Amino acid sequence: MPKLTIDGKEVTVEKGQTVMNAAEKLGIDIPRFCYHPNLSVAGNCRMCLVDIEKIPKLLTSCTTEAAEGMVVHTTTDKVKDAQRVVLEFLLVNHPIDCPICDKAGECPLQDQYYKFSSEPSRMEVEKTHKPKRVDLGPTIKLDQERCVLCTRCVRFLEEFADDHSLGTVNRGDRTILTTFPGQPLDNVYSLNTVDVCPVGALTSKDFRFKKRVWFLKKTPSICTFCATGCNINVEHDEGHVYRIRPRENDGVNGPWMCDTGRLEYTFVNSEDRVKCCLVRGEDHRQSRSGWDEVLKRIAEAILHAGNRAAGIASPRMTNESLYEFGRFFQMTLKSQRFAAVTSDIGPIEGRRADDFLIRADKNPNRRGVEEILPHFDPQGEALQKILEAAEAGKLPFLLILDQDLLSRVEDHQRWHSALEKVSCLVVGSTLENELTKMAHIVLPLASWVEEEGTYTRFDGRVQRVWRAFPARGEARETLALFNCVAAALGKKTQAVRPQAVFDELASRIRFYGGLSYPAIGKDGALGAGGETVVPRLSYGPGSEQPAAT
Amino acid sequence: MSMDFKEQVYVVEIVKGLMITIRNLLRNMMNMRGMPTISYPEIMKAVAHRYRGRHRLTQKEDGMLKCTACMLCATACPAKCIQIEAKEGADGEAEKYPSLYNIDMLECVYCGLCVEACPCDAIRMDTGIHPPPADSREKFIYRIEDLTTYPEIKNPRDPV
Repeated sequence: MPKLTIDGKEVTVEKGQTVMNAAEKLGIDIPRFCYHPNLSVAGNCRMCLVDIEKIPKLLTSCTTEAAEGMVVHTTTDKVKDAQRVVLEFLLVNHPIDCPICDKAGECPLQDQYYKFSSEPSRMEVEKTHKPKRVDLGPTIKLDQERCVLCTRCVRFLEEFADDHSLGTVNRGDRTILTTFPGQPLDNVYSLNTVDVCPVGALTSKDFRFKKRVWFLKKTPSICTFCATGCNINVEHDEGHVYRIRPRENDGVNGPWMCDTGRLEYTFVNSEDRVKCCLVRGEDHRQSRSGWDEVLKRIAEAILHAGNRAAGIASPRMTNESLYEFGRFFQMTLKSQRFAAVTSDIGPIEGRRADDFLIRADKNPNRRGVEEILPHFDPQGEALQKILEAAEAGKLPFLLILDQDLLSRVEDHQRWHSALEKVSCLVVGSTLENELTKMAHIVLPLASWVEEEGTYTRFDGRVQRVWRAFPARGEARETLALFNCVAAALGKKTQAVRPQAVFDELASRIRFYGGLSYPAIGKDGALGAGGETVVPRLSYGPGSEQPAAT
Repeated sequence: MSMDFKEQVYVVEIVKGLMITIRNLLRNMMNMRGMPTISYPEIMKAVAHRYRGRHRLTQKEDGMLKCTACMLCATACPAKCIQIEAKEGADGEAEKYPSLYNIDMLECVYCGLCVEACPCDAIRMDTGIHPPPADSREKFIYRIEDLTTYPEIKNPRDPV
């Protein structure tokens, strides 16, 4: 365990750690471009130079192993001079087109220029010009002029995505980052290269020119497009989601996530959202209606149906909504006909899965369904009974909160014709689809970024989502729905704050015992018997040879 | 303060007051040119060089907008009255340009911070025009077409 001194402060680190790691442990900020904690070390940007006593030249702190008795200085004039000069070199051919660069505002090059240099260029010759709009593939555009050749993107693709399509070619100031001719960068993890890029060279086509980053507000959340549940920040402004980026959590996804999770958010802004309550009239056409009227109709149908009323929940719902759903049917309606379909969405064939972050199971809360619904219905045969009753035309009321129901079930045709025989089919949905067209009543529901609650990851980790903005139009949160219906039925209702529901759930269901919102926090917490399952998230000792740079 | 008898009668005071009016009338009759009023709108007063009038978007020689849609004006704007949507230009054109640039003149406070913030001298307030009245809210939202049409500017201001 070497013990060293950095800027007069002593620190002990494990053997094999670098001077940069030791400085980080002390909270000393050493500027860097090519170093990334989760990637292999390249040492090519020269920004992290430090002064080590008894060594005549400055050394790059990211490649120098900490040794016993080292005395390191990070703020001497010699170091400051080196940082200024390195920045001047990096900026010799940088176009400085910050006004049209998407990275401006969150750009390490911009920030470090203001921090360490702030000097005008001394160059008198023309800058080297390179292609500025290179189409790298379906998701990414490359500006070769802005690139500082740190090779973070190259290393990410080689070390995590097993993709060797990016590389640097040519020499000197003509070096460019490029793909093989005619071979686009088409990788499901490609947008991580945009995150690791310390300048605006790699830009996401989806986000390009949509918004300046300083307008965006970040709300922590989790990705709900597969069972991995990557931690994310929803970046939004005025009720419009602009991009999804990973939020670092070493127990789940590290700083990475897949492109599918980043790009699926568009439905939140979509025009296909169910904007208001719809009621099917005598002429079989759906027309707009208000919540009060719709709730009255639902209450009438439920009173008529009594304990024959049935409900189908979704593994996309939060733990809180699932609990309220179960309680509503069991306690309020005294019905045993409620279930959730946990099959996967869409056809199995062609579905992606790998040993990094993408799982074949596309349900974010399957574990939650499996832990919560048996608390109310230990037998768990309700789904088959609902289908049989519907087929026999003996189902007076069915509430479906799973907009993907028809693509989940295997015997699609059978369900389709069975649902047509239900006397009152109520569908809660975010998007208009085949199922909402069949419904007698359609309820607009909030999307996951407009809700608050928790999800249970497949390995038992309970993770929170926060509300980014109020639900669009007349949409309501799923959790509030049961209370509204109970009130319309004339029952005494309780407050439905997600936190209160979770506290009750935690006291009733053993798996969630001892958990609470403060305990879950931003990083999540394991339920009883859960065991963290994570892929390799950083390139450490034991990995293959570092990438060539 | 109580008034004395002379003041209570008012007549003397009224005559004293009228004398000022009559004196000005006679002076202006003798010297019409020195009159401070002007016959608007036949005669217009010249606006001061630094007067912040209605905005204009400047153009390059090929007629394209100088604006690169960097949104620094919208960022600096204290009234949040500037709305910009950026588009990517085709090859050979500007990489980024505004496909929509709206200023809501009802919200604008004519502070000129947008002009100060612009790194490209793309927006100026030197038209000398006071924005004309309109009869609907929509007409107060000036689009690119409105912001690029303005009368000839006799005394253009230096770029900031």
